[in-house]
Amino acid sequence: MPEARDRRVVPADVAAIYTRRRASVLFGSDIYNDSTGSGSTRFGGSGTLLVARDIGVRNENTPLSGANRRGSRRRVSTTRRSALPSWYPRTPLREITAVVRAIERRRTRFGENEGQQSGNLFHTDQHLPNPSVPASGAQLEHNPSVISPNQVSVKLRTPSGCKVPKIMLDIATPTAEESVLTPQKQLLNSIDTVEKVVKEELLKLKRTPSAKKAERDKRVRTLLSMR
Amino acid sequence: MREEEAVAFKNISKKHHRRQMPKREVRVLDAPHIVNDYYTNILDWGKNNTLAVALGSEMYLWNANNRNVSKLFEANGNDRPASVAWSENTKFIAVGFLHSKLQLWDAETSKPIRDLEGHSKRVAAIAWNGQMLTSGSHDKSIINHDVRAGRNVICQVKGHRAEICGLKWSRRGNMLSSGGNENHIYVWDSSKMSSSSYLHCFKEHCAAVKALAWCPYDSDVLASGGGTEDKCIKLWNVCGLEWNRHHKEILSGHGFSTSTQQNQLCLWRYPSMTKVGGLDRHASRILHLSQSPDGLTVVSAGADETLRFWDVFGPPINDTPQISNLDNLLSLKISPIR
Repeated sequence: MPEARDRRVVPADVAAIYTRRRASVLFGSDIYNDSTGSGSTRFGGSGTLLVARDIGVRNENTPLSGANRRGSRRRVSTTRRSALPSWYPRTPLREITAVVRAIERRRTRFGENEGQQSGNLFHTDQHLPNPSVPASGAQLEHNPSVISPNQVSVKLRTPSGCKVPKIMLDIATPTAEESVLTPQKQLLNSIDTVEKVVKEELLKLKRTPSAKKAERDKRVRTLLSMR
Repeated sequence: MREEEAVAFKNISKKHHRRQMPKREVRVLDAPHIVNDYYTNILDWGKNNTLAVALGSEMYLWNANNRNVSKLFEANGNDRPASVAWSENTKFIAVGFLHSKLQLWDAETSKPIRDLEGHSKRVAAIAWNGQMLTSGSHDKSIINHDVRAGRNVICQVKGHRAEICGLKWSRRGNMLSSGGNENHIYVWDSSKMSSSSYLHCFKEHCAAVKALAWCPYDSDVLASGGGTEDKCIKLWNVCGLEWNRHHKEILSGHGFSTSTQQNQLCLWRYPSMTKVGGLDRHASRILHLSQSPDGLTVVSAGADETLRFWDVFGPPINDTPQISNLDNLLSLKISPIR
């Protein structure tokens, strides 16, 4: 029988096929009716969520939108707008009050005077890295008023665990020129320097063979869970 | 005597005058991997001033007195906690899991005591009433457990037509309120709970009811907040409600919304329900609320992976009995001129 001429050739939408197949697999398991288990953490923080099967029952995990809410499974962009920058090491329930406030101030400052800011960055670079016992000896104090603008000591721990080097920074007393900077600006500068050092350390760690192996394992697990 | 009255009266009016909505939180804690799921209740501040919070598959305890952090456990495999509740005597922590498990942990030894059977799906809402633990599940049933008995199930009640999102016992323990994903609220009498006998069924909400809170000054008043589509009681997408014990107010935590209340904490005066103020510091939706044992601080857990602490309920009105005496005296309209 000859093929119908009016038949359109539609390129196979691989993503849609995968989605439908996965939806049928997951719908079969009631547990994942409203939200996947550990999937939310695996897939980079975005909640992978299904609309509940019950008719008339809305899924409270989907944000409001005009687009279709019925039936189809969609990857909801519950992108986590974390208060912390991506490079900052995460530790459960650690006090981050001062960091969050400093970052917020920095954001508002960038809004106010962009050109001025870039000139002031990395003024205190010369004194890095200079490990010495900080006055507080602990992590960044939660109370910003406690931090003197002259000495900011930061003890950072990367999340990967045991053999992590502790980075101690002691930003020395500012020179006469820098004393013109307000305490807030000095704190912002110190955050920039901390960011730079932490990024360097993270890069170093990433290059180690154990880190590469861990990353490979993680990718394998992700792929296996997709099956 | 007159002088004391005058001083006390001045102090009260000063306190009322000085009370202001805080502009920002007093503390922020990092909460990496906190699950961004409406159908969980993974934050509880126990009467021993220790906060229990589940971050991903791990359960952590944060002592508010000395700020110690300790990990209670990590769930196996793909499982994770979906609800947590301190017992009233703070000896036990009850944890409901995604894969239908309900576990009792000993808070002092940090060891699991027992599993409580009965549910077949996610246990996202639990509430204590003395020695009795009540759990609500995605399997649409509510179970009362006797945690001391070998056969833990006292009774199993099926009233809701969808998952139980919120459970709260009244202060006296005589009434249980339950909110479901089908937008209904049931109020049960503790002495006769069965699938067919409930005290009330409220259907006015237009979305899932997770936030339930009994009023501390009016024992028959229950505050409830519905999910995203809800337009009732002027509370949009409420994930948590906390009554202020010290002043007649209620605090609501919000999530997805088209209104200005998105991601906000809103303080409302009771019973007028006029808005006192809003706290707009969370970068994404608020998931849970809990308050400190002294009733002065509220903690909010957000999808922005932070726990924020707000001194929003204070300052407390001290020496309440004396004040009520003073009120009585003043109401007698004692003239300063004798």
